[in-house]
Amino acid sequence: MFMSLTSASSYNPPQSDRGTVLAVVLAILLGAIGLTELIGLRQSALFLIGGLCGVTLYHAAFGFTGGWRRFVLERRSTALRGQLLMIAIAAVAMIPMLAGGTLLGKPLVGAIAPLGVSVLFGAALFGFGMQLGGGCGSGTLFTVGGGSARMLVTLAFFIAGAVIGTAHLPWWLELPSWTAVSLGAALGALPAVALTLAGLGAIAGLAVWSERRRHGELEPLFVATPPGVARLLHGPWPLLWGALALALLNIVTLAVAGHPWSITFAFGLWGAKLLQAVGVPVETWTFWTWPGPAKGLAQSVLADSTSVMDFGLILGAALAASLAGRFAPKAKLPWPSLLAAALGGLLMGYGARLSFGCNIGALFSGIATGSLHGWLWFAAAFAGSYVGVRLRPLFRLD
Amino acid sequence: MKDRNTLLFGSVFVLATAAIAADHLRHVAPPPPATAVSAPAVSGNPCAANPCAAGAAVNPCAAGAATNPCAASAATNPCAASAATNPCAAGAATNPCAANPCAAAPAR
Repeated sequence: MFMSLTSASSYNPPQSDRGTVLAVVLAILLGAIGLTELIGLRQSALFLIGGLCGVTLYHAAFGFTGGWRRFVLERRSTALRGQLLMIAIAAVAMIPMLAGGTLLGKPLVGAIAPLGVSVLFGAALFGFGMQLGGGCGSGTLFTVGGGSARMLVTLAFFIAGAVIGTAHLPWWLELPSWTAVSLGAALGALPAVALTLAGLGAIAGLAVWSERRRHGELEPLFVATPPGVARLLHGPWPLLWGALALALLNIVTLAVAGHPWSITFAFGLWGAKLLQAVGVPVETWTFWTWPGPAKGLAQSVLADSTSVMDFGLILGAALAASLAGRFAPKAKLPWPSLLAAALGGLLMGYGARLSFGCNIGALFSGIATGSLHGWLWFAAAFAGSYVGVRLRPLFRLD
Repeated sequence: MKDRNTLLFGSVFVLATAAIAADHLRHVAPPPPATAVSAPAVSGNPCAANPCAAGAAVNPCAAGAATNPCAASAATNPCAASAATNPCAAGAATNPCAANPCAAAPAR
């Protein structure tokens, strides 16, 4: 019932864009060597981990936006179940790792953030925006890497929204809010893992029930696909491979960076640095005087772990797309679609800043490291996404 | 259209790389002023910034300077041979005259 088989002999690897493959491999190699020389080996490792995230996201077409939309419109829950499984696997490793406090002498911190009006509003805005923008934080980056011109527009406005969010966040944080809750710290590692798995299982059960009710049967998540080097290189990968690989990569990120995978902090940082370059005194904004952001602003962008992972992700996705022979595909870009991309990007950037992250930083890493705000983020973002799905036809997106 | 897209992304890549490089260059710790940089042998030598150079704007060692700390007759000449605690004695452990601010041509 949960399993289906595909034939190995039916797989014909696509023709790669050889020129683009060579150029991207060269860029990745130079990036890794340059980061090792300029910053250090750890930063280079994070860049390569980001690259593997990009390859995985692209080859497994692992997006939150389309998966949530498919559930809302068709009651098909395959992608949603894949995301829940990914979070569950990561939680089993990450909550106990954080309970240890350190790994090889290096302190570890989770994606723990306060719960409050800013998270509720920001996540809803983000969910709404991602349906207009056509991708969440990771989705925007891997489709940009894949050569989507439309998503370049989304990314540009994502950055703008994020930097506006940094200007307003201190005000939002004055609204009612509760202290950050780490399940691991409050309950202990094992009860926290059990509670997290129970919560994720409950949502998966609800999704399964809903799909069965509509269709009478369930689309399988576990598709037995003979691996083979050709499929690994050229894709596409089954969703399950994506879920497993991304869970593993987030665990490795926590071990190497000392914090779990995140994406959107870098967008605000890039926007702030751009504004600074044209003379805007961003460093005087309250947000950018806080220790973490101030440090990010004062140092090279190459020293920011989120930024280098994002750079790696884009290049990894570009490599996967060119290996699949689908880099920079032809696309029609009607004005309503571009307007939706801009509006969606702006809302996602602003919302991500208010809610302490996106589907990766707040939902995936938040829940997997035991932060209660991740659950609030999930509920609010899904509600916002539901509204966004319903409004997509206004922009001729469906 | 596909070629145009590839060109677009190539241009974006080049622009982004340039922006990253510019940011990195702007934020890496600026090298210390050349005058303060010295060879290992004269590390910490204040004479790397020789205030007594012939053309120095404010040469405290100029012949007629009122407060020439190195004048032979100066009461506070730390290097006067007769100073009881001459720190510049050949065998002194911490010879500050290695950084003699008035040396004609301090070592670099």
